[in-house]
Amino acid sequence: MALNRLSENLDQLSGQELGFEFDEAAVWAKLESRLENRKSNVYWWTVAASLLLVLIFAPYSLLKKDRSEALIMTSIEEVAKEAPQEIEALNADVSHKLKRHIASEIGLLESRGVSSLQLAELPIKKLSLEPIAIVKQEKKNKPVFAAKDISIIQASLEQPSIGKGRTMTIRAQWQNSTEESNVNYQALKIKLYEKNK
Amino acid sequence: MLRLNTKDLIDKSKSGNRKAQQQLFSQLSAPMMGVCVRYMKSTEDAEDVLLEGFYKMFKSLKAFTYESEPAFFGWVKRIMVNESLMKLRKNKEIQLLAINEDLDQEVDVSPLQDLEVSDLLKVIRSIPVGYRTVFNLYEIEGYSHQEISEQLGVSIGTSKSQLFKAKKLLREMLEEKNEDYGS
Repeated sequence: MALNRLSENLDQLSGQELGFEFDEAAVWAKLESRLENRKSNVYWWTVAASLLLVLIFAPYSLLKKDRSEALIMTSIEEVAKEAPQEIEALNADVSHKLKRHIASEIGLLESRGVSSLQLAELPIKKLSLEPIAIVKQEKKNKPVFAAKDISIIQASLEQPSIGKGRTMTIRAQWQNSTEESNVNYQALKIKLYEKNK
Repeated sequence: MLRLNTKDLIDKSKSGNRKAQQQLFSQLSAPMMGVCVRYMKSTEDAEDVLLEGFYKMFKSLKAFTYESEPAFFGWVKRIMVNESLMKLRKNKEIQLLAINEDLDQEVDVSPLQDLEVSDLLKVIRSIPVGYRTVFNLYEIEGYSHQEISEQLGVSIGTSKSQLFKAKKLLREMLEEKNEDYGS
């Protein structure tokens, strides 16, 4: 038996003809409310998704910033790896020049009001480290600059000739010492790190 | 069945036009309620199914490709049928058991066709839910036993036996009714 006819008939008849009544307006009102909720849900889901993206990428960008700061440390470590780099002070004139050079640098830095405490705050684009000069004592009465004698770390900012970034030069101030050079660059790193805190 | 501007209504509904959605609902709600009441015992349950069905329909309308009005109508109707079955399953109303009877025995229910449609609907709604569901799916929606078995998660034999019992019961009810009229 085929009752397909019934299907067609049933589909075309109104509720009254089928013997039931339903409040179309009330059902529509409920449906509309659900559709509105969905719309608002979609809105909130979009907001939530955006927040989620921010939460995902914000730490990444912060990490990137951290990486640039970490770069300072890494670079300083690299200096430590390179150390001890020694420059022989063959004679008093050389050591005198060296001392004078350091003194002038310190004076220059101080006149600019730059200190190591400001290092972490500087927007570093490019970091360049100059090898720290250590005057090796070859003979008696010749000055020796050793890492353990570090009294201060200074930083200077220089405008690069090429590119948009700034070059930071870090120099260490050394004190005269008659002791044998036994460079402890780890100390240099720690000191800088503490100051950055 | 539907007005000529159904495609426009669908297009506007897809973009969230509330008035178009309301008009589409207005056009379809009565016949779809007719589908729901065939499956659900109470009108309240049928309304719940209608509401849920339309909500899902509007939600998935964007993915629907319009071809023709009958195709669209059939699509919405399938949503309603599926929603009805889900509701029945959720309420654990369907308990289909295979019956050991001669399923090839033909039960003539052609007198059903002589009934007024509203009376037919009443008769169909009065039989047990399992029988009614299979009867609706097979005889009215035109599903095969294979499709019914997949939809309801029962064997083809169970689907056949439920249909057999449904027809037998309907036949008995009709005979009783005729006797009442005769006496």
